[in-house]
Amino acid sequence: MDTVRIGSLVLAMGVLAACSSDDSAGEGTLRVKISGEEAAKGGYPVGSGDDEIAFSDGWTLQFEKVLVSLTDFKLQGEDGDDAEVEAGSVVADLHLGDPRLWSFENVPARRWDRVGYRYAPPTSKSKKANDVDDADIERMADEGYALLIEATAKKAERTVPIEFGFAFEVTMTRCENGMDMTDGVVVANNAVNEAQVTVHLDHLFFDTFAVDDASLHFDPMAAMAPESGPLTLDDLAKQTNLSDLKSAEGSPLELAYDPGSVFKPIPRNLDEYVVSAATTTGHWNGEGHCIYTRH
Amino acid sequence: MKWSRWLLVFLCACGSDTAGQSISIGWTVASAADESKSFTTDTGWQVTLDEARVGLDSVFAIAPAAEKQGAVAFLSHLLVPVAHAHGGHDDASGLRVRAELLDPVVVDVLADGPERFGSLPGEAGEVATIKLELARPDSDLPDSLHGFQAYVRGVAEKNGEQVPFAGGVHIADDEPSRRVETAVKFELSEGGTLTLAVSAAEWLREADFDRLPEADDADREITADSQVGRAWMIGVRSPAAFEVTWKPRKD
Repeated sequence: MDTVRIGSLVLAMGVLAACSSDDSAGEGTLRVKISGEEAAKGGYPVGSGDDEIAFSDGWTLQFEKVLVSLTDFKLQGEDGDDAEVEAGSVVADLHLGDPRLWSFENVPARRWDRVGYRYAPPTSKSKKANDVDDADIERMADEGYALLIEATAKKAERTVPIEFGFAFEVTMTRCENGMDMTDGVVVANNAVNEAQVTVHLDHLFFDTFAVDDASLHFDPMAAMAPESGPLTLDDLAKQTNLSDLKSAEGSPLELAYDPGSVFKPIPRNLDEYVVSAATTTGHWNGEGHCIYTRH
Repeated sequence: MKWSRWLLVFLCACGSDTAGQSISIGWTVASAADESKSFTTDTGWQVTLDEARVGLDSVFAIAPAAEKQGAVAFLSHLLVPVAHAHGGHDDASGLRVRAELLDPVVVDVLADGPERFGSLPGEAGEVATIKLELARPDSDLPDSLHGFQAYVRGVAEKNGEQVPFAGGVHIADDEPSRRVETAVKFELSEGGTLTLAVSAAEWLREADFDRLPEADDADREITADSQVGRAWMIGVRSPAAFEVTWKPRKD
């Protein structure tokens, strides 16, 4: 290290030491709600025109319950700062509405560019964000479900009840803000700031994670439905070749589900594929993606 | 600029002392010929390959999400401008790129020996992801790829039936379509070597060759809308088909 560098180092250390206090920009409130958007309430198809989201194979689907258990909301900065917000476990039913998950008072006003949260099964301390049945929370805790979805799919004369329980934990980190595609969120001084965890349920039915223009299919799932009782993730495991999905009679549907390279472990059947897809459902303020880590 | 936060980062920096320092590393493609020339698919076909190549547009070694820089390197970067041939961030994840190969290469998967592609500039530190971008469709692809971004030719056999086949994959130009990410865990350091191995067995692991279109006295073509074409499209972007290892320099 030459003299100039040593001089710069000494100068900077002095400046760092001298300027490390009292630069507060004030405080604000951050309220975080959760939404499954219109799909969670009204099912598929949803939207209209170019914005319509619909199954490409003619199915319709109505959700009856969209239960999500979340915890560990993080509000941090790339610079290492941490708002150290208290965000306990909470369970919400997105079919019933868009309830508030957490409200944080006296948060230092600044851009918090490292926002994240976690899907995790409920605990005995979990709170209800809206009118969730106690029995459902107990079942999620017993089965280790972070997500539990009940729905009914229909096509022509056929009706398929669905019950998907996702027994995993997923940590979302470095979430982009879907409002402006910046990192995290800005907490403004002396203001009530609103933000949203957004759950994209259409991911559960995407036929690809390798490209951006996925289609929604249900024929390969319906093909594995039992004669009685709801279709479960265990039933989807019977679709064993993602490049060669079969009808109920065993004939080729000439369809594939392409997981791309984003999932670890690599899904090898339709059960594993849909569970992997579910790890990507959590967003931030609409379309903002996060880094998804499955545990 | 909030100087107090610079101080905070300095106090919190706790990576290795060399993290972030400029280094030079080697870049090699290993032979995977033994496992790729002949293999059995999950669908029960015994496959023997005569050709298997894939074009790569670029390779990136990406730092983990919880990036923390060594204190010495942090101050060095803070106080002294450092020229980086890399040093950017991955567009898709926003994570730091430790090293990158930007010269397109064609990997001959059946080559008997390793192929060394020279040295790369990089920076020391932990790597969690290798991102490979397959060749662009409009790039000047060599004749050995037959106009495709990846190409195979061989024979599949099952229950006495032999199916000679050949074909390539066309992948859209957008980056997500050409991206393959594979998880790794190692720490780049001066003089070490990154080695890539490609498995053609993974490309075709779910292929059912009797579903290829019939052809008279010729190889049956792997078309994009055939089951084999779909299986290969999944396989060629599977992280299981690409293994990246790190070998530090022997002191």
